[in-house]
Parts: sequence; structure tokens; C-alpha cells
Amino acid sequence: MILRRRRIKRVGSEFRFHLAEEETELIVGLLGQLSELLNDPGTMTDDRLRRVFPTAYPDDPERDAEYQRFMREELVASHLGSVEVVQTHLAGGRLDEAQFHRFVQALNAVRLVIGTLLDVSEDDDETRYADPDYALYGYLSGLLDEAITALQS
Amino acid sequence: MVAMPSTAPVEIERPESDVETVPDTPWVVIVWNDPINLMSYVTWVLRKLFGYSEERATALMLDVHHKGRAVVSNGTREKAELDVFRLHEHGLWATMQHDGAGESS
Repeated sequence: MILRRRRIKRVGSEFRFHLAEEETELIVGLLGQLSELLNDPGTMTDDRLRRVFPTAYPDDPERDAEYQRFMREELVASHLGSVEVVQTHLAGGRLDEAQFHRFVQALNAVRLVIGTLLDVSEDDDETRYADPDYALYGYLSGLLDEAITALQS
Repeated sequence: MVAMPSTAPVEIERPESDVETVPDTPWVVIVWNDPINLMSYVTWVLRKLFGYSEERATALMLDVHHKGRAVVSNGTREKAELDVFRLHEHGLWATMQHDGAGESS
């Protein structure tokens, strides 16, 4: 049996990370790509961001257009804020609860983009896991699940 | 910041009722199943945003997973829009509609 050390632990009111340097670099790098994508006005209708900006009123295109006009910018700002918190503090190895929530949100936003690119489905099986991009997606999913476990501890 | 007024409170007659005013246009917020969000994550988001118990949040998450969707909150259009926004901030696939609309699908 292999006992793997937990990578994220709640200690009192903070969350401590035990990540290899490469893992931190990988996460920060992916978040950098996410913020580039979010900052690029050319990606407003980019299919990669389809899951990051869902429709609010599927039955009412007019109201949805209005909603997107007012809320999309705020949603971008919210995601960029989360990215910034993680980029600033993750290397330090500890986040307070509010920062940790931002970490969880940012990590999930990256998974939404990669999952959309990979067109993941609930029926995916091990034949897809050989794909290196899928391995990255699997890695992020595992880390997110550990983060949720830490939140509940 | 605003200070509390120091004048004596004026008694205002209010109709007694044990229910809040019923909004004339009730909206429901729906979370849809998707292949990306983790079940543990969805449960956590519902607890965080709506203060639901572990049991209630888990039951809603399982509804989303098995039935394809679940109504997670309701209220006025403004409240529903805010809830949809907060769910989108957390990456959930949330939409809103008039209560009762499209329930047959």
C-alpha cells in the first residue's frame, strides 16, 4: 500500500500546501494562460470559454444579452481577482480561508476550459487517460478534490 | 458609512403576516448537470452560497447528477440573477426561468 502525503491540509484557520515546486509552477502558469484568455477581447465568443460564461436566460435571448452586457465584465473581474490571489500567495505555501476559496474557484475555472477543450464526457474511460492533456485534467481534478476534502476537515 | 439616526423610532403599523411578501414574479434558479464539475465541488458550492446543510446540498447535487438538473434557489428576478451570477463565479452551469416554465421537459 502506498501512503501518499496529503498535498493540502487545513491547519487552524489556514490552508497549507505541500506541492512540489513544479506543481506550483504548473498551476501558476495555467492560471496565467487563463487570465490571458479572459483579458483578450477577441475571446468574447471563444468556444473555449463557453463553460466559463454560461447563458443565464436560455429561453430569452434578449434578457440574456442584457444580462451578459452587465454581468460578464464583473464575472471576468471576479475570475481575474481569483487568479491574482493565487499567483501572489500560492508559492508561499499557505492561504487563509478567503484566499483558499479563490484558489478553489480559479482551479475549477481552469478545469472548465481544459475540460471544454478535451470535450470530456461522463462516459470517458481509461482509453482516454493516455492523452497527456487528459492527464493534466485528471491531475487538476484530483487536486481540486483534495482541496474540497481539506475544506471539510 | 452611515450613522444610525438618533431620533426616537416612530411606530409604523405593519400588516401582521408570517410570510414575507410573495414576489409577483417568482423565478427559479436551476443548476444543470455537466461532465466537468466534481460532485464534491458542486456540494461545497451549494453549501457555501446558500448555507444549505450537507444533507440538503448533497441531495440537490444528486438530483443534478441523476435527473440532469435541480432547482437550487428561487425568488425575485433580481435575487435569481444574483444567485446565477454567484453560481457562474463558481463555474456551475446555472440558468434562471419563471417558476413553472418548461417544467415538462
